Amino acid sequence: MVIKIKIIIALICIYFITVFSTCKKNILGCGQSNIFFTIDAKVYPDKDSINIGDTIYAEIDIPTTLKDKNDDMVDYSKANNLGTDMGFLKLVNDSSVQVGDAVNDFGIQLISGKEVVSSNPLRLKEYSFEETGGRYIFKISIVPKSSGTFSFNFGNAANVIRNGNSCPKAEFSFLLRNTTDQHYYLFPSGSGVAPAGADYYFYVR
Amino acid sequence: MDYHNGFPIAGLSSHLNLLENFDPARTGDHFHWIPTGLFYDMIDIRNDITATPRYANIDDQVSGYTNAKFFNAFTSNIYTLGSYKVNLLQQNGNNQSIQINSLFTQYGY
Repeated sequence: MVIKIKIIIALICIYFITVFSTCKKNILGCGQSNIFFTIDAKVYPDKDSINIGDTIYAEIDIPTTLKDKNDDMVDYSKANNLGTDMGFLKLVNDSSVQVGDAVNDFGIQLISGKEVVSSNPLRLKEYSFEETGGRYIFKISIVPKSSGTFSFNFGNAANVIRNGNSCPKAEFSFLLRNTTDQHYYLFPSGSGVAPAGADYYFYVR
Repeated sequence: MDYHNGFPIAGLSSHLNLLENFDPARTGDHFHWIPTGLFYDMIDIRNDITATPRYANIDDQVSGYTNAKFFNAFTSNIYTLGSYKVNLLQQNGNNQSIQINSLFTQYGY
């Protein structure tokens, strides 16, 4: 009887050590993202005013082995759900508080990556990235069809898993400030400060 | 994003930054169906979609609801977010009903 109890206690100990010692697993499985990457996206040419019919490119091109927030190099290849949702907006009557959905104001062509069904097709385009040659690649061209002040952004990718394993999970935060002039001054409520974020503003003549 | 007190939105604690910047539109996120931030969006006056920088594409025109109102709307017959929304509106005189309906829709409910 005593031996049985000892075996049961040992098995319980093994269970808890196994479950709680790896990448923030818990009884219910792996939790939220526990690896954080900050990724430079790019928009070019980053002119604040363009003409109808001009082309803007939005691009992400990164290696699959990346530096995380602790400056450790992490191989995050074979990600299953790495991508971004891009919100396209138009300022209505140049108001600071009225925005309209603007996907239909653009001709948007996918160059690299894969389009995913959008949860809000008038406002959002959703994409997953292509993995090739040790890199994650995503690129679209954006051609405005009407005039006005517009913006689009790269939405962060949260809870990205790899190889079909639910743990670990990573969050990819996209930034433009290191590569692109974001033209915050075009947005009436804009603070002009960009501590983070990947939103881009431009005027179409 | 790794949230801190005051980052990325100044004046918000780390956990409020997480709630405010949750993006339910990213269907690639396995947890996108969890309405993280829905309740905070009904409390705060900040509209995610008109803020700069813009982290989430949520048109949040709801403000002024309270935790007490949220708690009272969780009655024993509530099993879905849809019925919770109806109950919340009924208990509060349909306050901002158009905006509430829009907000729940954007969260996928």
